[in-house]
This record gives sequence, C-alpha cells and structure tokens, in this order.
Amino acid sequence: MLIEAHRLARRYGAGHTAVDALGEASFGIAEGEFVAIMGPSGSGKSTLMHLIGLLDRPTSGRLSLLGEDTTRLGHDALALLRNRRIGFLFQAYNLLPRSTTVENVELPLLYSGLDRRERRIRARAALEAVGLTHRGDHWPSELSGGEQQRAAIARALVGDPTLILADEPTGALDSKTGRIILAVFQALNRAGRTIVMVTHDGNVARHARRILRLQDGVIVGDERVASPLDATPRERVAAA
Amino acid sequence: MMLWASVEIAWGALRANKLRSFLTMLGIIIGVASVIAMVAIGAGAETQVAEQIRSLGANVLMVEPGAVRDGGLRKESGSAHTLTEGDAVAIGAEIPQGQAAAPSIRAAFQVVHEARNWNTTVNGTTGDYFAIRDWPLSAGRAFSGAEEERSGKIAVIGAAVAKQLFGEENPVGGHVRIANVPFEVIGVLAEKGASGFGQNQDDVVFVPISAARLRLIGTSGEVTRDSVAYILIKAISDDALGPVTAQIDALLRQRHRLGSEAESDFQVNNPAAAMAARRASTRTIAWLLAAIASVSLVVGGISIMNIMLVSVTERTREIGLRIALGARRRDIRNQFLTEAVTLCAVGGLLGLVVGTAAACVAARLAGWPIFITPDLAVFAVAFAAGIGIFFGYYPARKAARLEPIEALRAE
Repeated sequence: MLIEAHRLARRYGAGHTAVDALGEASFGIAEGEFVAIMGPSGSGKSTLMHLIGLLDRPTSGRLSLLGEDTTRLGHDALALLRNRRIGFLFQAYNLLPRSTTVENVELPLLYSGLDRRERRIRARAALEAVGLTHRGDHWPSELSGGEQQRAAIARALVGDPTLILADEPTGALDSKTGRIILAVFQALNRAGRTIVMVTHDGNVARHARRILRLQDGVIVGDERVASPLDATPRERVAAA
Repeated sequence: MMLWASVEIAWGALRANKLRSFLTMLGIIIGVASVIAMVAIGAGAETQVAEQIRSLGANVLMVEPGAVRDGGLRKESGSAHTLTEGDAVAIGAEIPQGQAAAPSIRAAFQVVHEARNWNTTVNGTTGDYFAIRDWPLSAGRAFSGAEEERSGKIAVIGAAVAKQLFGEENPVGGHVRIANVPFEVIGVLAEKGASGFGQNQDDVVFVPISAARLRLIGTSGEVTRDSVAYILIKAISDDALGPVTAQIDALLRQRHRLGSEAESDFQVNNPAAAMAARRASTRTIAWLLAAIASVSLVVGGISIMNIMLVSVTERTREIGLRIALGARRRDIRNQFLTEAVTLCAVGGLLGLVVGTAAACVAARLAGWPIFITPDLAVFAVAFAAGIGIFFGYYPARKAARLEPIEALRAE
C-alpha cells in the first residue's frame, strides 16, 4: 500500500467549539491508482488532502506512506518525504510570479540539493513532458490558465514523486482546458503514476478510476469507476 | 539547500523590489558611511596631533616670563623681561634631571639672499636648542660653542626659508642678510611641518643668541640686558617632567628673590601636555561622533527588520508553497536571513564607499592624513552583515514557523 489511513481524524479547536473536520477515516490507496476524493465544500476533503500531503498532522489515528508511519516524524523528515515522494498541484497553480516558468519548475529540486545545471536539465525535461518546451523562459503571467496549470504539473513531476496530489486542479479552468489537464493526468496514470485528486465536481471525478466520497468528515462511499471518462480523444496533448 | 541557492533566491527577491531594497539599505548605507567617516576623521586628527607632539621634541618644558604689572593693568604673559640667560645657565647647571636648557630670543626680520627676500622669525639661541627639540639637520652643521662665544655671524635655516631664499640651490656656504648684516648659512634643518599651534615650524632662522643680541635684536631696544623670551629645557625622561618643573620653579623663585607670598614672574609650561589634552579631547569627540553614527546603524537595522516582516507577510503564500515542495524550516529561515544579510552587506559595502569618499574629502580639506585601514573596512561590512543577522533573525524565524496550510491559504 502506498497510503494507509487507520482511524485518521482531525479536529480543529478545542472544547465546545471543536469541529471534527475529519472523523476516524480508514482507507488504503495502492500504487498506480487514480483516486478522486469527492464531496461538497466543508466535507473534509481538503483536510484529508492536507493530511495525505503531510502538510497537517492528524489529531488521532495513523497515516502510513510506503509502510512508514508518518505521524511520529519530525518537521525535517516530513519535508524530505514531501520533497521526494509527493508532487503537489493547487487550484490557483501557485507559480511564483517573479520567477520564470522553468525556475518555477526547478523549485522542488532546490530543496533536493541538486546543482544548478542538473536542476535546469530536469526542469526542461519536465516542461517538455507537459508540452511547454517553448514556454520555459516566459513569466507565469504570460501563460494562459491551462499553460500555468501544466507548468504546475511539470513542477509536481520534476522530482519524480511516487504520488501526485492535486487540490481542485481544474477548479480555475474552463471545461475544455480542464479536460486537457485531466488528459495529462490519465496519461501519467497509464504510465504508472499514482494520482489523488480532490474535487467537488462529479464530472471531473468520473475521469478517475476510483472515487472516495466524503460528507461531514466521514467517508460515505468508496467505489471503482467501471468505465472512466476518457479526456484524451477530443484534445491531442503531449504527455508523459 | 545549498547556501548559494539561498543567495540566488535572496538576490532575486531583492532585485524584484529594487526601490524598496535600496530605501531599506539606505539606513545601513548612511550608518556605515558615517561610522567609517567619523572613525577615519578621528583617527586622522589624532595621528596629526600625535605627529605634532613628536615634532615638539620629547620631554620638553618651556619657561616663559610672567606678565608685566603696570599698576592694575596686567599685560600678556611673556611681556615681562624677568627671564635671563643666567637663569638658563643656572637651570642647566643645577637641575640634574634637566638634560639641557636653551635660552631663546626672537624677532621678525626681512631676510635677504641675492634678489630674493622673505619675512621670517629670527631666533637667537644656543646649539642645545636642536638637541632639545630632537631636530636633525638635513645639511651642514649646527653652531659650535666657540662660535656662540664670539657672536659668529652664522645661521641655521629652516626648510621653508631655504626653499624661499635658495630654491633648488644648496644654501650651505651661502649668505643671507638680516637687518643688513651678512650671515653665513652653515646648516639647514630637516622639515618638521606645522606645529601643534598652527604655525609653520620650518619658517625660521636660527643664529647664536649672542650674535642676535649684539647684531640684531639688542639694537632694537626691545630686549633689555640679557633677558630672554623663553627657555627650553629637556628633562631626562617623561617621569622627570614633574620633579624638573618643581625644581625650576624653586630655583627661579630663589634667583628672582621672590618671597613665599609673591606671585611668580615666570611660568613653566609643558607644551606636550597641552597637546596631549587636545589629543584626548579630539579622541573623545571622534568616539562620540562614531557612537552617534552607530545609532543610525541600529536605526537602519530596525528598518531592515520592519521591511523583512512586511516581506514575510506579503510572501506568506510563497512560503507555504515552498514548505509544500519540501523546504525545511531551516531552508525558509535561511532564505529570509540571507535576504536580510545580503541587504545589509550590500548596504555596508556602499556605505564603505560613501564613508571613504567623505573621509577623503574631509582629510583633504583639513590637511590630515587619510586613515582607513583594511581591517576597519572589513569590520564595517562584517558589522553591517551582523546587523542583518540580528535584525533579520526574528522575521526569518517567523517565516520558518508558519503553518503550511494557513500559509497556502493566505492571500
């Protein structure tokens, strides 16, 4: 199992005002899966994603990544796991506006201790993989929304992580551009990459091969998608 | 993360906000520049005073006559004619810790050599004078005892006079006319520069005191009998200055037949002490100014801290992103610390340039030696960088301790 959650819970605040954002969820995600975590806003899906992404610590329960219990790890060990094992994607792309696209893609490698030359080579390769070879030296503001999200995918891929963790990756995009991103995901998944994607949009979720449904902090459904929607035929996209 | 990478990030962030970075640096620039300038100017002034003390000659005391009392009116010090050559001889003979005593009389004359002439001070004294003031000759020789005895028409001239009257010629063996009396130049003194009290010490002609009295000053009616303008005494050591002063005082009171109640008609001065006092006050003022300047350095540091706090707040989302991508707390801390230190170090370098320029201008105007040592420069820049660490640490720590989720949510 890549991810194993055992009675994973997260409570915010204390006493009477305490809120159980996530209540004792147990599930597992194997390597090579493409999972959508779905639910309305406030259902705890973001909390779950933050826990899986090692950006937050559970109030109780256990979370293992590649068989290692992460709940006891210190700040530095978690940072190392995020750097080596997880590639993040955000709804707002989160590209640094004052760095060029290729510099943005390099960012995770900066914290891996690679030298400048090696960083640049890998970042260019990652940009090529998402079809942005020619955009590397542009500022993020010069890129379209879809291109920015693809640059963010390149950044998520550049460290060759085991897991891609995407928080509403198509949320800021129109449906056509969103499909391009989903097509990239599906191509990556076919190549063996594990993808966990948080979304509130059922249509987007049906592109995944498994859907975890959350409501009020509780997992209310865990289903295999018999025939996932395929995003590729309508748009040809270069992908890894 | 490697250090160089954080310098790159810091440099990028500073470049992105050029005007703000410069304004933030300005405090450090001004602070470092003023500290450098103040220390350099203070050191320059002090070096100059020390130089003047040295040029006075070591362990020298000066006895001058007291003021004339004319009824209730007291004239300036030195106006009385109470000090005599006999006093000088007595001091030389009777005070064991006094190495030498040279009486001196002086007056201004027009000194002529061929077509050139020059108004200067003619000083009648004995050969001991040069030894007392540790004043070597650059050419020729000083007076001999025999020449002093027979009021020889010989002169030892200062470097400035040699230049004015002889130009490039060798003055030794040449003649100068003083009040129409020809004097043979037998020696030229080494250059000493300005005295602690402003006049050019090299602008002077020395003749034997007997010759001056017989052929020059005695005739002007200014000097009665064998009175002298002052007596220079060299004590054998610095420690002997106190006892020698007391002994001279006692000896002269006895020779001048002053009762225990009477006021002295002379005074014994220690010119080096006066200059040393001036040196001490110069030093005090220099340090005071440097201290005030370093206050501006602290203010500069506070503005660095202020801007770094603003920067951390503005870039909260960036910090969250970096944490998500694998930055450790110390990576974030080092990034902001490097930024603050880079600001301060660059500011320190610019301040060094500005301060050096200011010190050079001041030194040129005041005629001081320029006094900026490499270690002062290194210290100033290192100190500025230290300010960066001190004032940058808190904002950097604040950045490093941000919770990643909240940081990512920030607008």
